[in-house]
Amino acid sequence: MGKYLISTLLLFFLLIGNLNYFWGQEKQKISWLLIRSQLLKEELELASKPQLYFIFNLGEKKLALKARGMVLKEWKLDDVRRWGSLPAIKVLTLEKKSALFAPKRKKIKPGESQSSANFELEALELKDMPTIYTLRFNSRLKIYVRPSQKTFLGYLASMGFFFRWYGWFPVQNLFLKMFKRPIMLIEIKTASLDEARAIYWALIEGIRGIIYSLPGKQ
Amino acid sequence: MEISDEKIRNREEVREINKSNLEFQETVKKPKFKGRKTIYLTLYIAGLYLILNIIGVILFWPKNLKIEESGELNLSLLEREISLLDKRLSSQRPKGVYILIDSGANRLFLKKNDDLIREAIISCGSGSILEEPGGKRRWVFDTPRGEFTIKSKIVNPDWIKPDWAFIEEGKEPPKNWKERVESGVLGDYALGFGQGYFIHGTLYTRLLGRNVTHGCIRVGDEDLEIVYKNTQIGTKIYIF
Repeated sequence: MGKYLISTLLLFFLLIGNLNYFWGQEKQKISWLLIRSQLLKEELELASKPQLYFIFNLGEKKLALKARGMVLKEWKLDDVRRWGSLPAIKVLTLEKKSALFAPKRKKIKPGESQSSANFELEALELKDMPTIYTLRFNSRLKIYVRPSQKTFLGYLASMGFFFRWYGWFPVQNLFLKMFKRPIMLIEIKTASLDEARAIYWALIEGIRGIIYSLPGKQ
Repeated sequence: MEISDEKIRNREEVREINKSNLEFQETVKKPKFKGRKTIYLTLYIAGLYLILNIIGVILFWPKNLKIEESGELNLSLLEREISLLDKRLSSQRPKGVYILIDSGANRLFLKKNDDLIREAIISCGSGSILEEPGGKRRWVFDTPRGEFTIKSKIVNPDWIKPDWAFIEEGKEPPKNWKERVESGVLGDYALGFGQGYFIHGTLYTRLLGRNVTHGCIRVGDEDLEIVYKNTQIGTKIYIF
């Protein structure tokens, strides 16, 4: 009698567990599909205009520059971390790019740039772009960009960034929350110095785009 | 037993000495106490900061986006909606041949749908600034970014030098337009995409791959010919 009772109970819990698992999976899939459909609706609005825009998926660590739904350039990021809740899926605008060593445009002196050799000196090129910088978006969102570095100085700098990220930002945001102005922070690590420069070059001030977090296809 | 006066005096002296010793020890201890106070204060501030930090970490721990489900949700309906949106998005893509220009890497990609027809090394805008003496006008030599359309196709183009070309050379812009015409500097072909910007040839082929132009896109002769022959007025150009 006791044996039957135990096996019936075991079977019952197993069934409940399985149902719960499948129900959870379906709920997760629905949530994934809902985010995906919202994302597509917003992207369609961006793609219907003659403009460049970006799509940043934190879940897949991918940043893409697009136009008309077509990927012009894509960067696979080394690492992405964030503080705070993600904003709802909506179009954001890059308001300002700032860097400690921001590139400066060169001024041409009239009458002095007649030879082609001078042109080279006056150019502002990809190699002049910064590798560590901040992108400020509307909706109080900031993205800190820096490259992954494998040098001794790079590790030292990484330690500094680590303490800033875990030691300073939560406290800073706590104070900002007291004044009802908390910010959402994202930090991305690019695979190389060149990729950090290319992102700075590609994301011009005023560019619009979507930031969301969604794992790969469900 | 009687204690002599001398002994009493000695005892009092000993007491005096002990007392002054104690006072001396206290004065010696005092700075030690002050240091401890600083340590306590530092520990207190550090503790307070740590508590604030922990509160901050808990409050701002990354949370995933939750989308509110409205009413009954049907999985297959949602999937159908997504595939429809996907189709509408891909219908926005350019059909046929189009040009992609990476102004940072100075590369041009001539593509037909997803296939690459030609990749070329080019020269894009230098990003420099030119100011007219007297500060009346100012030019920024950037290659524009975004979506453009080929508006004109010219064989053996002449360059009608704009004002900045003269100012850059330290000369006065001429009033007679004929003095502005310069032949043989734009290569064999030119593709205009609006506001005075062109994809054209160059005499400075050794500078291809560098950002040296005034905003136009310079292409080598062979590549330019292929681009010219494969495109038509209305072909889309995407510059990033």
